[in-house]
Amino acid sequence: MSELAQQLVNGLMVGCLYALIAVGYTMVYGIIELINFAFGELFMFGSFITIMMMVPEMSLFGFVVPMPGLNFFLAIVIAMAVVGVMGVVIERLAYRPLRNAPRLAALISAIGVSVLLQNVAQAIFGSDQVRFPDIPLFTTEAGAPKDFVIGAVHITYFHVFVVVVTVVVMVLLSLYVRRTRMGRAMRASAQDKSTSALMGVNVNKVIALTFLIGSAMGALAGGLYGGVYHAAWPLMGFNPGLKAFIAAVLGGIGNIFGAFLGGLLLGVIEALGSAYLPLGSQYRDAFAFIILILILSFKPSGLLGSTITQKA
Amino acid sequence: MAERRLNPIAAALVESKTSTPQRIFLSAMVAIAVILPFFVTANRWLTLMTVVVIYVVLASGLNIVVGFTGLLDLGYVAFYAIGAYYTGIIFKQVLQTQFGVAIDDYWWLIWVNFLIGGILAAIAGVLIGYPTLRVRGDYLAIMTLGFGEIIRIVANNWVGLTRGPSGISGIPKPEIFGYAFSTQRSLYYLGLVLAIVSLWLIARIVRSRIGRAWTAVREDEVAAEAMGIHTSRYKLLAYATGAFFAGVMGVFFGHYLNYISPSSFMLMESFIILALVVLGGMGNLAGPVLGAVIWIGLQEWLRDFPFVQVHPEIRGIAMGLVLVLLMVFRPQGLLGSMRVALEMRPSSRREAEQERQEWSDADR
Repeated sequence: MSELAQQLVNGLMVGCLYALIAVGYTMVYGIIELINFAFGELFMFGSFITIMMMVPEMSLFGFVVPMPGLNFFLAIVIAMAVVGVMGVVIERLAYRPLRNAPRLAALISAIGVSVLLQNVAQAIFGSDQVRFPDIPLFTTEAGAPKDFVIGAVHITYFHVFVVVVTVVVMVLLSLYVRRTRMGRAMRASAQDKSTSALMGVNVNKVIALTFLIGSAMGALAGGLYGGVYHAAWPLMGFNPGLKAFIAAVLGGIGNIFGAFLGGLLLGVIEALGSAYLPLGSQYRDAFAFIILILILSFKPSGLLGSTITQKA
Repeated sequence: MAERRLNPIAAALVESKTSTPQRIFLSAMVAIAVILPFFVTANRWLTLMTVVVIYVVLASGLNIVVGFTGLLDLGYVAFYAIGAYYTGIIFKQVLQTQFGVAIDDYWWLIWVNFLIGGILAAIAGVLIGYPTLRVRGDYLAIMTLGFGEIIRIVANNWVGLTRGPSGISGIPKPEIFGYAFSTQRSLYYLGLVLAIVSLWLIARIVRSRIGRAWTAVREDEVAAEAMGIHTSRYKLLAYATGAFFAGVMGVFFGHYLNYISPSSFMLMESFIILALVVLGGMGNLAGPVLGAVIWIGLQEWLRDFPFVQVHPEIRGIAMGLVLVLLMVFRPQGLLGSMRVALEMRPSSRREAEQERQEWSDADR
């Protein structure tokens, strides 16, 4: 029983990270119908930039460079800002010129960006794992994570932090999309770009903002992921990126709350599956795709989705 | 939609047949490929040429899915892996280990395996493609990406069948009626024959009714459906056909190298194959050939430079840049067909809005 509860706790925590990345996928897909494969890589950059800001010095391109050594919270905010800008630049250079081209062109461009970022990260940070520094607030003197125990379930403070941050961010984001002028412009653009433009919405600005938010969320997830697993490496973004997309599809693409729900569900299913299914831990990474196959076969619009995903 | 961009008569003229320049290019390539080994005898170059030939077929097979049918397949290497593992498992794990027979006596099985490996890969292609038929084509990208990873995870973890990360070694060299393909040159020629046959088959299929249906699906799925093309069936057929050629080459790869392991079938391989198609020109028979010759040749040649050896990521950076730049500035690739060029070019804003309007009218 306590094992089950422990797996649930771990699954929820991972699910929160998926949910944060899934927000980017879901918002971008909702508006321009593009799978931005690069969100996984932006997540990875988020993790690396958080480390860069936290450590006193770091090896970049093989040279040791002094770094600011800020605290975790400031570092992750800077990472979100930097990666957010990266997302906007990518949209401007690699996707905007292709907005009216067939979808295949934009998808190939997205794959190109993803491969490019992965290899640029390897050039900058090296191909090995970089250790994520301990966060004093969440770590004991001995270097172990601070935690508390309910029944027999260990919950670290950092896990609680991840869940709280995710919930707060999700609530703020859905308020933003529902209640503000810009949010309304986003929803309008998702429904019909050209009509929104006629109504005075600056669609280019809306799309850029969507990339900014989505990329910043990815970076936030990256920083938190680093805090949980104590490492960052250039290929780290691939699997979480794919799974976050699947989470977005599961929840219903284009729907922020759906992304949250899909992320949590996927995290929990993975945790329980790898703990209880035979050979589960070896094939952990395959569960997400089985879910994708099932969802595409039975409910392609996702759990909470509208009919946007139906083929046009 | 299409007729606004391209006069239908022009469209019909552009690609109803393999164009003369394409014919000349392909014939010249074949001639060079046949003659070259008489002048180049170093094993190193023959190896490089064999690798290029393998990629020519892989890229041409992927071209069916991406170039002619317009659907993005990002896990193409999985089908290649299926062919290679199938033949490796049959020869080493089943015949030799399970039944304890001398595998050299079963030389004829290799030739049968080319076909079976291809068919297995084709079946896998249909299984992967099927769930995505109800949704838009871009989901295929994610499905295939995931499938490619799953195949690799299985190859890594199912140690009893695939020997896991250590791979299967000692797969026999191809042999026919006592003639063993043991030299690098003979293996190259075998690969070349396979490539020529594959390209010929692909050219035949693409110029047939099936190929025209694929192009119709690529250009306008709704219109194609309205014209009576069973789009789902043709998409599945495209996945299967593309996968078939990867499976055949996988079998060849296994026997050529005598050794397979999951590290030969990394995700990056799928992206490389995609880059070959995009570089040479999607939807053009000669495109993937040129793409493979240029890119794989360059890549293997660059291996000798110390700077590239220390920084292998340079190749990835170049590849990412090439993909993005080509899509933005020359989506039809180096050899690009007129038709693809017109289709891939971002339509003007007015056109796009008009189109958008048509779509929303159609939705209602």
